[in-house]
Order: sequence, then structure tokens, then C-alpha cells
Amino acid sequence: MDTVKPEDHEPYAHMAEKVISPFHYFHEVYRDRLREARSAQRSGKVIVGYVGNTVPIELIIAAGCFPLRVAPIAGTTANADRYVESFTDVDARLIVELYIAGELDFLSRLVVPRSTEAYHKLYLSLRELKRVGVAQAGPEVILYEILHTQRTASREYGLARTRELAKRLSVVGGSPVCDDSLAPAIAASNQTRRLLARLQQSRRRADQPVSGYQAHIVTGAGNFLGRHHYNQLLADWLDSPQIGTAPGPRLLVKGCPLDHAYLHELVEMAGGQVVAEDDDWGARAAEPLLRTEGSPLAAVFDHYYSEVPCPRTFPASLGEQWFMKTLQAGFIDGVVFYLPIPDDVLGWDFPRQRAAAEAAGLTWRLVRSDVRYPENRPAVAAMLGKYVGSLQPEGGGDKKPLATIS
Amino acid sequence: MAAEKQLACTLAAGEKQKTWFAEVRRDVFEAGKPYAIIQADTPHDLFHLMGVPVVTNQWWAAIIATKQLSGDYLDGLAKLGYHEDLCRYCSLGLASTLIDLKESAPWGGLPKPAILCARLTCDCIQRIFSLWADSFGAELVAIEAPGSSVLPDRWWELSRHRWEELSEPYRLDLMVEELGTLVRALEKLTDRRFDKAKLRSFMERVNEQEEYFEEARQLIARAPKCPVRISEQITNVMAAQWHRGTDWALAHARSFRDEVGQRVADGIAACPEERLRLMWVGAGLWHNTDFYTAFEERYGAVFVWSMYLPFGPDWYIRYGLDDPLRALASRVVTMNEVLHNPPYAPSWIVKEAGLNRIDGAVLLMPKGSRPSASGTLFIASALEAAGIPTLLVEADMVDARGWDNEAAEKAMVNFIEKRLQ
Ligand code: SF4
Ligand code: SF4
Repeated sequence: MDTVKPEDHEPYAHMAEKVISPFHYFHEVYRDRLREARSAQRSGKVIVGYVGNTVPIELIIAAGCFPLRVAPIAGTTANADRYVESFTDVDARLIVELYIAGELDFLSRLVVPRSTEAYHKLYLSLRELKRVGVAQAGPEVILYEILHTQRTASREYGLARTRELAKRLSVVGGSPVCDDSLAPAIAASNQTRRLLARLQQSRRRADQPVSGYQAHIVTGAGNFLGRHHYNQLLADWLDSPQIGTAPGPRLLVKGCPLDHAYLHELVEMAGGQVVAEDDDWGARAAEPLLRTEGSPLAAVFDHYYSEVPCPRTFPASLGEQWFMKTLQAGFIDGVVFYLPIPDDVLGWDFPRQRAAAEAAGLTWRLVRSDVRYPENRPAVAAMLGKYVGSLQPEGGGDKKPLATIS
Repeated sequence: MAAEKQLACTLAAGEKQKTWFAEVRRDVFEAGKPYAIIQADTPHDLFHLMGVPVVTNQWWAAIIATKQLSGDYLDGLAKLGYHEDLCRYCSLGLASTLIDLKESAPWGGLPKPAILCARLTCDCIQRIFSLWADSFGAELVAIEAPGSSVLPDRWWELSRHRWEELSEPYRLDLMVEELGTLVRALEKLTDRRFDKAKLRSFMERVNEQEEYFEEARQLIARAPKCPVRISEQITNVMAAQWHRGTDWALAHARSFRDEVGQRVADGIAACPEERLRLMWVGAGLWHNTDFYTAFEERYGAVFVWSMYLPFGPDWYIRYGLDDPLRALASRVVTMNEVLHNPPYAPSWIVKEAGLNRIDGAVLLMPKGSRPSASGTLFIASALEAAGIPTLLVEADMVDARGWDNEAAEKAMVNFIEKRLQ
């Protein structure tokens, strides 16, 4: 598994040709993740890259910069493999590769949060690569630290780190991050969330729900576009006549965040629909809204500290509330736990979460292979086919695959 | 066949652990006294000071592994739904609580602790310790582990006297607060008052203990041939570390130094045929410590260095104890970073390789403990750049199930013949 082969990562291409154009655009942005930021940089924008979902992008926006989520899912790792162990999370290996190759040199800064241990190691590795001269031109890497217990000292610590980040970004972007500049940035974020909440609603419609695959792509594209531009596109797309898909068994996906769409695709091919994902690439990008009263900086901080999904939130029950609530919400027919190798964290939660699903009267399946690799897909497709079949009402529904896209 | 123990101290250390553990069990079962289960990188000092005996999770894992029970426990975890790729080192203890091996349980098994304590280092540890605490119905004190962004690479030059400069001041402040949280939990548990002056004298005793290890370490490094095998270095050092600051630990550290000194004075080598000096980088191979001696007879290749002895003096000693809690916090706050992360770990290990006249380094790469294993390649490339050939051994420290002895020995033979001779 030394290379995540680029040619393995074009499965949407055949679909993209056949779909209507606004979706096509989202799809292109989703696929070519650096494209929009590169062109913004060429037209004079300062680009600040960030990793993961706990970096407060509102600060980046308030500083007048373009926030770009650095989230590669494909490519070679030949250079990275000399410095980063092969069992490290794939995204971290790919980011190291981009950094060494100079592909991230167009970023003014790269902000790495301490929301996982793997990201802290990533931060240290990038720093070390610079220190030993392997990646001299790479952007300066900033650690954004968020702690995890909900004690007062941890909150105050995080708030102080957030203030520091705001100061540093003010210098980078040339416009001060202050209450006045944060308020519109928060408003823009909340606007995104309201729109995404509408999208979530249409995924849950009983008749002709929006396809989970499409919803994932459209949601994910927001990570790689300027916020206002994205909001406009999203609003237009939601207002245009939606093409629904055939209703099939509705699945909730729980586990490692899905930064790719292969699992959605496999579920749809099996005749089911992913209607919600417990991760920031999917359903949880839509909620909750950021607070609009009180200090804007504190509102931004609190959001990332205790409201967004993060595997280190402590106690774990706090981070699990959304999942528990969704199990009971009545629009789920089954649960797919996605814990591909090399997961070594979320597997600890699986027996408990599996029991919670069962207690809610739901069946579940566990996927342990990484479906980004084509060789892993047939077995998962077969398993999902059987599972989705078992969830169909007697007599079976219309199982036509990929009803929306083809 | 296991190599014979060469030092009297080693037998005493083994004996101490056994009798001590039996005492803890007796005190818990018969007198209802509290004890704690804690991670290796937590401030044991505070527990000792407050009179709460501690069982260190990693020590217990090593005991399980040495007794060849890790397979049974880990298979048991898998049956409960915990998949095979989860970290094993820190979860063996949890497994020994969730799975009842009846009379095969090592040393009678762990009784119910009053409290558990872990630093939130890797993402798995909060889960392992939460499950463990829940299964006992005991309190868990979780200590934050803020990540470093200021990295003095030659940290050992600062750690003893200039420890304030080791980490960012705000991280140190936070850690003082975190230790305060732990202190309050211990006060509640024991009904005792925490006393700063007592902590200060306790830490002075820890310094004294580590000074003996400093002498032993210099003796071992400078002797023409290694006087003490690493397995015996580890047994002696770690037994004293687990009981650090106590009368027994001080006396033991002193007699270890004396015995090492005597062996050096008498010209005794652990392996008289020593021709190649090797370092073992990473945690111990607890399920197969015989591996360390397997290349002595044929190649005169002796493992002379592991982190356990030199890390004590280089990291634990803190001089300038006006604010002992802050000094302790400075030790805790970047504890395992210095052992794993660049540039801390690579630069220290390269320095140690020079001091110990190392010919080749063997690096443990435990795929089953990913956060602990990451950083290994930076260490390897720093060693190679310093002219020290390295070999990566992919193996778990406690899980014998994936260990292929034949393949590992073959790799070693190849390494020795091709790169060291
Ligand atoms: S990564 Fe290290 S600290 Fe975490 S559970 Fe594994 S061995 Fe323990
Ligand atoms: S392996 Fe590393 S992280 Fe785990 S207990 Fe040992 S020193 Fe700590």
C-alpha cells in the first residue's frame, strides 16, 4: 500500500459526464481539491491551508485570506515513505508528500490542529522536514492546539491559543481579526450550515431523496471553495429542481470520517442510500450553528472545542450525542460502521456503539477494508448488497442502482 | 534458553516486584486500602507522596507478555468486538480485567483500584482507560497532554537546571493546573493534605536515585566491554523507577551502581567475546527478551544500550526545586515526546550512540502501537546520517502472536554480516 494510485481515483469521471452541470462543477472542485485556491492565489488572494475539521476557518476568513482544507485522497507517497511510517493515516502521508514535492508552496501558512495525535505527528514531521532541509520552501506550519477535557483550565487554554492564532493570521492576511471582521465570517459560516441543513432534509425525504453520493460531493466541495462563492452555488443548486433518487434502505455511516465518496457509491450500487454520516464531510457539516451573541472569538472557539466531531473529545459520551440521537430519529434503517485499516482509535468505541444500534432496534455491518483501493471494493460491494437486500421491505423495492446519476 | 542473571541486584529487583504486588493485593482485599492503576508517563511521584501504591500499566503489560499470556487476552478482546489493529501495549491490562483467565491470571490478577490515571497522549488512551475505569466502577483522572510546538533538540542540556525553558511557558502553566486536579483527587481519596515541602524533599530523593543511575550509565558506557546486559539494566532500573523516591528504590539504585562499578573494576564483561556493540531503540521486546542475547555467541554482538537506563538521569532529574510542582510539571509535560518525536528523539539517540560507541542500531517498529511507532523513521535516518547502520524490526512489544522469530533472526544475521562486519 505504498502508493495511493492516482488512476485508482477517477471512479466519478464516468458519472460526472452524465450529470447536470452545477453538480458537475461541485464534483470537479471536489476532485481537484487545490484548483480553486490555486486560481485565487494567482489573482492575488492569500491562501491559508488547514488540516482536519477543528481549525477555526472563520479566523482565516476574517483575516482576509482564503481557507483551503488540505485533504488529499490520492497520489504517490514515495518521498513521504522515507520519513513517515507506512501505517500512518493516509491523509497525513499524502500531505507530507505534497509538502516535500513543493505542491503546497503556494500556501502562505499551513495550520495543523491537535485534534488527533496523527495530526500532531504530522505537524512535527513537517517542521522536521523543514529543519533538516528536505522541504525548504514549504509554508510555515502553525500548530493550533485544542484540548479535550471540558475543564475550565482546558477551555481557557484553548481560548488563549485561539487568540494567538487570530493575531498570527491578522499579520498573514494583513487585516485584523477582530469582533468586526469575525461577525460577518460567522454569519457566512452559519449561512453555509443553514443551506447544508436544507440539503440534509432533502436526503431524508421519503419519496425521491437526494442521493447520498451527491450530497457528500456537494457538501465536501465547500472545503475547497471560497465561502461566499460556495454559499451562492449551494443556494442556487438547492433552489434548482432537485433530481431525487429511488428510495432504498436508509443507512447511517459511523466511523472514520469519509473524505472520499467510494462508500456512498457502493451503498447506492447496492440499492441503498447513505442518509447521514457522523462526520464533518457529511451530515455534521450542517450543525450546529455558531453562537452569534457574546464574544465572536469565544463563539468560534467554543464551536471547534466542543461542538464539531473530534475523536479526542473527552468524555467520549459528549462526542457521541449526535450518533445516539440519530439512531433514535426514525429515519435510519441500518448502520454501517466504517473502520478501515489502519484505524486504531475508533475501534475502541465500536462494541459500545454497536450495542447502542442494536438497542435502537437497528442492524449493522462493519467494514474494515479501505474502499478507496479498488481491489477492496468487490468484497464490500457483495456484503453491502446482501445487507441492503435484508433491509428491503418484503417483496423488495426498486433496486435500480445509481438512479440519480446514470 | 534464557540467559542467566549475572547480577545479584537483578534477582533482588525481581523478588521485590513479586512481594510488593502480593502486599498490594493483600492490602486491597484484606484491609480495603486504595491503590491506583496509572500510565508510565503520569506523575507517579504524587501517588507515592500521598501514600497510594501504583501499578503501572506498561509494567503490568510486560508481566503479562513475559508470562506468554498476551495471546489469550488479545484473542479475548477480539471476541468482545475490539478489532485486531487496536493498540496492544496499553490495552493488555484492560484485557486482563475484561477477560477472566481464572487461575492462569498473572500473579493472581489485578484487584479493583480506587483510581486510574492517564495522560491524554494518543487518541486511544482515553478510550482504553475509560473502558477500564467503567469496568471497575472506579474514578479516572485524565490529564491533558498539550502538544509541543517549541522543540529544543538538545533537550538534555536544559532538562536538569533549565527545565523552565524546555516547553512553552503556557504549556507548563497548564500542566501545573493539571497536576493540581490530580492532587485534589488524591487528597479526597486519602483524606490527606498535599504538602509542597514534602514534594520537594521527595523530588530531591528522586534526583539522588537518578544520580546513581547517571553513574551506572557512565560506567557502562565507558567500560571497554559492556558489563551488564540490557535486560538486566532494564529490570533494575525500572523496578526502582516504579518505586521511585522510596527507601527501597534509593538503596536499590545505589547497590546497582556499586555492583556495576565492581564488575567494571574487576574487568567483567557480560559477554567476554563482545565484538559489536548494538543499541536497542524503542520499548522492550517483552515477550521475547532472549532475542537480545541471541547474537552474542556467533557474532559477539551485544546489546549494550536501551533507553531505560540513560533516560532516567537525562529526563527525571530536576534541580532548582523552589516550586517542586512546577518542576514536576516540566517533567510530565513533554514526557514521551522526547522518546518518540523529532527532533527530540533522533538527536538524543544519536548522542547516546556516540557516548556508547555503538556499531549498529536495531529499532523496534511496533505496528500495533502506531503513535508510539511514528517517528521511528526520523530516528533511523538521523542514525544513518551519523554513520550508524540501522535495522528496523517490525514487532509488537507485548503481542507475541505476530512474532516470527526465524525471520527476525534472519534479518539480524543479514544486518550483522552485511552492514556491521
Ligand atoms: S499509542 Fe502508546 S500510549 Fe497510546 S495506547 Fe498505544 S502504547 Fe499506549
Ligand atoms: S511506548 Fe512510548 S508512549 Fe507508550 S508508554 Fe512507552 S514511552 Fe510512553
